Amino acid sequence: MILEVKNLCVSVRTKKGLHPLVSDVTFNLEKNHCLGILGESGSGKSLTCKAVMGLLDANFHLEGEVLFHGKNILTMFEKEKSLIRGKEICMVIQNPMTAFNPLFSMENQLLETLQTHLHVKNKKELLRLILEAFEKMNLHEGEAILKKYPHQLSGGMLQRMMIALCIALNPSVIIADEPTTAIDVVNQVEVIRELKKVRELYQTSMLFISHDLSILSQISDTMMVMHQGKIVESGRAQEIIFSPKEAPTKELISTRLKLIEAFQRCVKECSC
Amino acid sequence: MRNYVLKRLLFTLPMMLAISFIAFVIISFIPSDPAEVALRVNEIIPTHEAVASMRESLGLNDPFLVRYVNWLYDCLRLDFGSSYINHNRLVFDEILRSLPATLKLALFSFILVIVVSFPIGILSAVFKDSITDKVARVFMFLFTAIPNYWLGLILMWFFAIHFNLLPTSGATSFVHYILPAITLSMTYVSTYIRLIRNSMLENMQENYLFYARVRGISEVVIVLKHLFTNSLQSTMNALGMSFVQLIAGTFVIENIFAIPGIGRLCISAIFNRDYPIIQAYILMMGLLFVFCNLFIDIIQTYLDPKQRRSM
Repeated sequence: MILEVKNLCVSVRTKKGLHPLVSDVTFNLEKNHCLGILGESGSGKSLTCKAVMGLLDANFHLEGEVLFHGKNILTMFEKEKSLIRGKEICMVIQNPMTAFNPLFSMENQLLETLQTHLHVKNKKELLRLILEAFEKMNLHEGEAILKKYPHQLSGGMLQRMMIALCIALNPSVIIADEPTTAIDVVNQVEVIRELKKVRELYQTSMLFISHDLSILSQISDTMMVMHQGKIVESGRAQEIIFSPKEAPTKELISTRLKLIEAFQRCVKECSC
Repeated sequence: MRNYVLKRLLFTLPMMLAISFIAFVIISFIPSDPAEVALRVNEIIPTHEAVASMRESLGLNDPFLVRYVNWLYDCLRLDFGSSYINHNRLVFDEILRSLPATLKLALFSFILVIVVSFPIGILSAVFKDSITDKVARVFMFLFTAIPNYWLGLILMWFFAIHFNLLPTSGATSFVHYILPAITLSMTYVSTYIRLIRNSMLENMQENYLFYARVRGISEVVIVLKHLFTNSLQSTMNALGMSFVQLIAGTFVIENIFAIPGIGRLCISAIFNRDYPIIQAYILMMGLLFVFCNLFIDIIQTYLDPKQRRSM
């Protein structure tokens, strides 16, 4: 077992006291396994992941346990956490267009990350690692891309560079927080393909967050559905999609179907 | 890049022309007759004949535009005429003589502003609402409100007279500049603490900072490399202006601390109605503003990758 989350509760400190946001979340992540988290906006999916990464600041109150290889991340000192965050647990975030500092070149920022985590001081060696990862992510002419600045690259490319960065670090867990939300459909397909490839190549465990059922069904083995900060349903991905039991899940699936119907109707009208 | 700089330089030409015209017009609008003033300051009784011959020798009988063009032509050759008080003294030499003291004072203050305000600004943004931040904010309000001549006198009394640590006046050595520079920089320090603090707080929610944390970059690097550099852009513009303001705004401080700088030269010129010096001073400060602004703009464009590409 790589990652075990037990009874995780996240609440935010307000003037009126603690306000619960995520309550009683429990899940396990095994090696070479992909867990999909489905839920509408504001259901606490991202917050759960931030808690797992140890990224929540003092405004949040955390309870429960997040065990990474048996060690509780929540009670770790910042020093210990920094050995895991970004190295053992990597994250691909949404909004790739704003994820990199606009003032520095991609090379600078990618190298900076590798230099933080790997004990290789040789810049050429690190660059070779990045370029290898680029090739695997179908990012060709890597050297030219590295010289570019974030605003010169497309969202899809930046998203794939984030994944490439994960590969170069060879983490145990990759958390993908809605990696396909902010990019167009063609790039979505590509990104999903690359993430699948990462699993095949490295047997990395994955936590995949999305509100998009079809994407989750493509990549995840098991799935859990979150609604208002709680897990309402979990199980094998196919089972949940084809025979949902709880109301929120049913609603998500039926909304999805309605959308598809509406889309097909539009297409028909246009072609007439 | 070269094209951009050339283009910007070209655009400053009409601006410089406008400044020179304003400098000339302002002095021409002063109600007293320059010829009469030139005679009076040399204690010559302004008789009709004396004034007429003075007008002739100063070229005041020519039409306005002719006078302007002549003056402008002289200015281009760095000939700003001679002082009314002492005809042997050229305005250009006078300015050149008093400029170093002012530049030293301005530069020293400028460095002080950066060295003091940047770290405090960063600290009070990162540790918002902490004790450091609260103390910094109190000082900020205090020093924005205190007029600098008063602060100068208090500092002088405290450090120069009471403790006898520093000299009260003069500009013969580095030590002489300490008190004036502190006085001059205090207002700017509080302005820049606020500017940096606010712009850092504004940028703190940026997505790239979150991703930097996700990547496991250390907090020090995040603050200094990613947050601070992005917050510096708005501050840069203000810094360029402040440097000129430090040079142009030394009137009071130079008088209090008896520094023979350009501010004092200008004050005494105003009291003596020494028009050529005042005119040259206005022109010089105007041009300094234009060029400093241009310089900062170019640096800023160069530092911003988005703009650098499109240049």
